[in-house]
Amino acid sequence: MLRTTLDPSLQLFKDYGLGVAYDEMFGADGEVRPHYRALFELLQNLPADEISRRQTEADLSFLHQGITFTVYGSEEGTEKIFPHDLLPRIITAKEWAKVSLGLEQRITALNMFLADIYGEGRILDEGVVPRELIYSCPQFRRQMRGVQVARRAYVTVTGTDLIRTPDGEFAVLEDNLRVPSGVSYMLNSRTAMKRAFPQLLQQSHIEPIDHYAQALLATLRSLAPEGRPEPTVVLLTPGIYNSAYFEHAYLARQMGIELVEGRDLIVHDNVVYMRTTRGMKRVDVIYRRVDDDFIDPIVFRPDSSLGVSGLMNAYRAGNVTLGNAIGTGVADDKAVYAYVPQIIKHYLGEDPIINNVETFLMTDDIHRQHVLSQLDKMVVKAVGESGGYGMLIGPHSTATEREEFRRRIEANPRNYIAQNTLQLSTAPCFIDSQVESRHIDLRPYILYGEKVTIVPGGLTRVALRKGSLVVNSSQGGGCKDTWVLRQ
Amino acid sequence: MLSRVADSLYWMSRYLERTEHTARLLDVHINLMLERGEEADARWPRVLRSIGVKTDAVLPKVHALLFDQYNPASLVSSVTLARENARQVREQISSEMWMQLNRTFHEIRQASQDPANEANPLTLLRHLRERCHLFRGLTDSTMSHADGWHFIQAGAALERSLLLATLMQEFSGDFVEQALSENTDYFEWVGFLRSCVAFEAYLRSSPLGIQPKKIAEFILFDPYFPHSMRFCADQLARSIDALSGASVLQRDARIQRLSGRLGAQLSFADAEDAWQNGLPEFLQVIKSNCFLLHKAIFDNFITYQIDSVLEV
Repeated sequence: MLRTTLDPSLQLFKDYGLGVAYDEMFGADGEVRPHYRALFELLQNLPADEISRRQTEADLSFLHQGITFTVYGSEEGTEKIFPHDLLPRIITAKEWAKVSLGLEQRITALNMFLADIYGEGRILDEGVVPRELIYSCPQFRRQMRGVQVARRAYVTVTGTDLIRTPDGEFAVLEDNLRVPSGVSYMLNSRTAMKRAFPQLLQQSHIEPIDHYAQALLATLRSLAPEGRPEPTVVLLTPGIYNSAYFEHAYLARQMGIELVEGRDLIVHDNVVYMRTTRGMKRVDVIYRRVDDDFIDPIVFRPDSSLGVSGLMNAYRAGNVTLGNAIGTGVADDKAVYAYVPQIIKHYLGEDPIINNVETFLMTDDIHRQHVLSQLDKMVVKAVGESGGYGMLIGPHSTATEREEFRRRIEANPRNYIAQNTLQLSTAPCFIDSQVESRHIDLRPYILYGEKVTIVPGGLTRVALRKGSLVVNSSQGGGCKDTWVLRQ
Repeated sequence: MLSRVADSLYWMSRYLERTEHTARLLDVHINLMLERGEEADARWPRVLRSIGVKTDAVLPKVHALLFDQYNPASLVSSVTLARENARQVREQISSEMWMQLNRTFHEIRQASQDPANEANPLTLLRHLRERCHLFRGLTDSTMSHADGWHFIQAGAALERSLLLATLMQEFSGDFVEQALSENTDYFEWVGFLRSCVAFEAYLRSSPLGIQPKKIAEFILFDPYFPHSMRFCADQLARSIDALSGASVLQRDARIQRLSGRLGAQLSFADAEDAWQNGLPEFLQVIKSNCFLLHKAIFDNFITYQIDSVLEV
């Protein structure tokens, strides 16, 4: 007999925990949500062994394809397959429509903000965002002052982290505006799902995502310097020891462009060339996956061997386009993040469609006192860090760790922000032959060039450790396919 | 294509050729040992020298040649290096090729954990050779036969020429002896032919059967057999023509001259020429030409001076 509620007699679900968090599959009463019904039925009909078998098959296929990432700090070159959960995360068309509008609004405003602060700085003059906040941000690159950026598109590729709060609403947790990664896992998860659950996928009428690479290429081409109608686009990677190297190679292949390293490029008379077997070839657009700090040893870190000497000059001269632009990190500083609602209001005259998470600035005395008095309930983050590093999760921390963060916050308040511990929503995951709930987030990818393109869905990241709220791959996170249902 | 990519494709191909050759040599040798165990130790040094291992060391066990990752001549080293090169250009080769090679890498690493493979490595050796053949087939059928493919072809042809020349040098003292003793030499020559996958092809082309001089001639000059040095030189010339033909650069003249010279040495010579000054010397000249060509490939396509191509 098929059930429609979470029932203790269902062996497969016997350890499924419903807590205060919003659960993607079940309502608070245990009733399965309508858009998850097909999956729920399928799971009741499939023996656990069969799901395990499909999971093993998918893992092996990931290994053979080399869909792996490198964990920093472990033995050099240790490759791990990216943990991938087979049960899809499903989003309705209505929910997605709102998210998509909200993301477009947000990225439009953030691009205007970057053009403003590297240009006239009106938003600072008007005091909407404090001037010292911008100038004290290490990601603010004064070398970008007055640079003409093609189509004023500073952030070509964004990977915004969204979470779903207990009331079921999406909220923005972080804007990743520098060199966001993970999109290859989104694309490969879908490929794996086509093999594992072909029928369910077909019945569910979901939005396709396979055109991402072509949309990215079109976006990059639309940003080519003037007078280059047939631009040469390349992807600049730090090389095989970078944790996201697989993704760089994958995207270059999908776009049919060269994957270059710094040592392949040379700047001559402010024009960028790549060394090919047939001589030097001019490069027009660089989709760079190398951080600002390392991109040009003459201008930024002189010890970098990953970058290209003279690239910044060629960029300023308008002979090459970089996507993303240099210095976009100032807008995803976690303290600047707190001002994004005001930034949207300032440039677009609209209220944010997707809200921020309430954020406490440690530079504000009242906020700081509030946070320090209850560190065990808060999440503290370093403003410039990403990837789940430099973070304190209060409820899961020890007294020593809290003391350490208290000391650091007091020593350098500008470097930290705090948020209440958020209950990320939970979704069903297949773990040790059981279906259990795990916390997830959502990272959609937004392309900004001639127009804004958002491929439906994104990367759903999963905190695979029970109860954990950290979804980063470097810290025990995995991913699952994201299905956006068609209308 | 990027010079760095050409570099990686070329070396990937050379390491794979080396993998295939080493696996085959070990297979033949172990098979011979099975039948004639008492002479096994005597035969090891020659096998080792022909794959570039110094023999004054203690005789390595099968383990060292298969799984020792610190031994540059081991199979696991060759496969790892081929795969590392492929990994740097994985968007340039077809997905099929990459998956095949990546899989082989994981397989040999896993196999090295199982002591049974050391006790009886024949299955694994055969499997590895099949993987190499499959990779070559995939290269031909799933990758565009453009510049990248030609660098792969050039790498394979050059490596194969060098391996064949080295192997022949190890046997060169024996090529002169005309009289075969049925019991011993026959097996050695069958072993040599099998090491070049040439047993069947040679017999078909030489109705007189096993004759050392004929064998040398076949491996040196046969125009149709893929493991003859003449064939490799032709393949190398074709790839170098394709790579430099379309370019307008002056420096291409030198590399074409070198590949032409190697081709001429093998197409217009015969056994008498090879024996006139001694076979080892003849082989050494071929090898020196291969090294010059290798250097020319790098000078021409990969590490060229930049001012030679930028307009002033």
